[in-house]
Amino acid sequence: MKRIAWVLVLFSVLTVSVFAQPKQGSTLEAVRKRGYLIAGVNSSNAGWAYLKSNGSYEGFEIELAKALATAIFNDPSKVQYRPLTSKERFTALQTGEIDVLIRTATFTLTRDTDLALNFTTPYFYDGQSFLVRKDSGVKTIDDLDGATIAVLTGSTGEITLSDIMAARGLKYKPLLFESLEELKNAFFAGRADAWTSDKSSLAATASSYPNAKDYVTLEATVSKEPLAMAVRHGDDGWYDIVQWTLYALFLGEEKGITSANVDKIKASSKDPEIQAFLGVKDALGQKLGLSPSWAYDVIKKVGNYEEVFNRYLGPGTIFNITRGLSVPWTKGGLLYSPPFK
Amino acid sequence: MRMPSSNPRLTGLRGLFQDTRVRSLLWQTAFFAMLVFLFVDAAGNVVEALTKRGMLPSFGFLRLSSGIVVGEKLIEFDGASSNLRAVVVGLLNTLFISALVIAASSLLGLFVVLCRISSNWLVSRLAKAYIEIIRNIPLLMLLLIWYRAFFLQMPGIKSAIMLNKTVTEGGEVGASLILSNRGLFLGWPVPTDRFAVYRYVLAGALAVAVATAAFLSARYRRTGKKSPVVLWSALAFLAVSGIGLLCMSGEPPFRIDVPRLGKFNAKGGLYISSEWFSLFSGLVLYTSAFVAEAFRAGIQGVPKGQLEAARALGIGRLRAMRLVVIPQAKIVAIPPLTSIFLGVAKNTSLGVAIGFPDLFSITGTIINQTGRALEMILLVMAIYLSISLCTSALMNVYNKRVQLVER
Repeated sequence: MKRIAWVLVLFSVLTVSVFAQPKQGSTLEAVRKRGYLIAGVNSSNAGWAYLKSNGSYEGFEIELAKALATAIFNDPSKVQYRPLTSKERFTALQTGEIDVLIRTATFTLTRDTDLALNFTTPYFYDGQSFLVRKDSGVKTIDDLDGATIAVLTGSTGEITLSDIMAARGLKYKPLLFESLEELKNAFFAGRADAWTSDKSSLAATASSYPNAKDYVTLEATVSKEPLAMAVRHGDDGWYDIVQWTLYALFLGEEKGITSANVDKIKASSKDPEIQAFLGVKDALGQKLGLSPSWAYDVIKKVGNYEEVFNRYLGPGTIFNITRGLSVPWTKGGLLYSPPFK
Repeated sequence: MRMPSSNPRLTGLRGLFQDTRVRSLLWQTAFFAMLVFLFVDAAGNVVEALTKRGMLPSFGFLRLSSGIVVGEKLIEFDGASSNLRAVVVGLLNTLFISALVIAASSLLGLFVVLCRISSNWLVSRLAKAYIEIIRNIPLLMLLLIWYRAFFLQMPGIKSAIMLNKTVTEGGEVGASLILSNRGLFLGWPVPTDRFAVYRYVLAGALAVAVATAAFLSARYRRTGKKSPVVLWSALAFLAVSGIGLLCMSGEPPFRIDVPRLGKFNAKGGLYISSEWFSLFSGLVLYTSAFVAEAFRAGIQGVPKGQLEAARALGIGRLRAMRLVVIPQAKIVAIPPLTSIFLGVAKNTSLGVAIGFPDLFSITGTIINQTGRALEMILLVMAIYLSISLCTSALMNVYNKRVQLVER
């Protein structure tokens, strides 16, 4: 009888803990209370977000998470990274396991609505292409008729591939892999004739391969892949914070404010927008629920968009990724921040 | 028996509670109510939470076109086919490979166990080493090693190993066997126009084979005279279909489709991809070690005296094995074999690691494209559960049949 009583107690505890109602309240409050941000990231996308051998994360997308942590806590280190596969990522966000998803996710209508997510403005305008062996003689997509094409399952690339091949009436054999490691192994062993993915990923991966010069990325860009951060529906305040932190990085580059000169500019600038931006006047940060100096902190501790990009993907790195459309509108690109007013 | 209620000190509610039957009924009711409450509460919570997040399960997406292309399929499938059809493609791939793995690993397992129980020291130890090594390596490692270290290391398609190389009129290079890291292409008979006629011959041959089997089993029941039924009916089938083939004039009903090198891949013939074969061979190796152990348990479960008695009656060792030991060993071996076979269908899901489009891999693709993770996971769980329950039911029927009937 005592045993049964214990079982009942155990079950009641389980009922309360496991099946308790999901918590209400704003994400910002929850993050503040927890003391750190939880960001869903990739752990093996060199240059973008990857786990180093010492256990820390590095990359362009990691810097975005750090910028967000700086905006909230004024401390770039207050982030816990959750490595996610492309298959897990949206579910992890939907169920509240992570606060924000920064994992080369392409912004599409279906994902925005069906998955009940909100995407920010894209932080990188990518496009899909193909990596082939130079000696294969493949120059255009039409040359790929009958080829075996390796693709990562769980990516928009998988759908785009079948769409463009169908549109051109080309036949092909897909070879699907769940992990990038296995895909690379098979592709570089010659198991597949081409590998399709976003140009940035192809460039990043191919450049880390010893015989990189035997391979070439096709000129053609076959899809629009706007990579954006995502949050859950239903917390507009939190969405604003994520969105405007990204805008802060954009505006930093647009106005030429870097981590090196931000102090000087803060002290001397007469530009009212810069003054508002850096929290000299108009405490804009408070409207977001952040500190007045949040944007200053982000630029000071993390840097503007250009600095962050160049640190992991720019000309000084082995990846040397072309920015393409991902330059400020003032230089003919698409990075455009609404006014900080 | 003294009823507790007849005891004057134990009347009323307290007395009732001291009655063991009443008490156990009470506890069981309470426990059951708790379970029901838990289930209803949990389900309610899940539904409420999912509604809040816009994740309420709905299976309408299964009818939408999938937009995916699958590399290996047993039925027609393209991007315009529905998601449901994609699931079926994956399911068929899983079932097909599982069935072949179960058949092949049973044969290999039987061979290994015969070595294992052999009186030859070396053969027995080798079999033991095989079992211990294979059984104690994680299956995923086995598959990855097989795929990476064996198949991917084979020559590329440009420098493929070819047998009976020929050059066709169109300048195409063909061969009856092309082996590369893409997999194996084999020359394979395909029916021609004349097959429409020949299939009546095949039907006739089948009828003759069935008749032979029926006649032989009827004779066995009547006279008790045993004969190899399967062998004779197979011979009858081959004889009739062979004579039919010889008698047909003109173009033969089959032609050998020879694989030819294309620009990227070879085409034509029978194609076995590296991924399929890696998964198949990895699973067969792994499963056979367990099968061998189940067989050994069965064989060693038969008292030694049975074999000795058979030998004393002058029955040969192999015949004694076949007629005395194995029928009794089956009874012991079937329950563990059932569990092993149940594992096979589930283990094929590891094919996702080496790029084989099984049920689990295709499900993953659908989840990614539609975002319907919960629905697909539920569906896949239900499918795997059904496969397992069916396998289990089949094995139980077989088990009942071979079980000793005590009279």
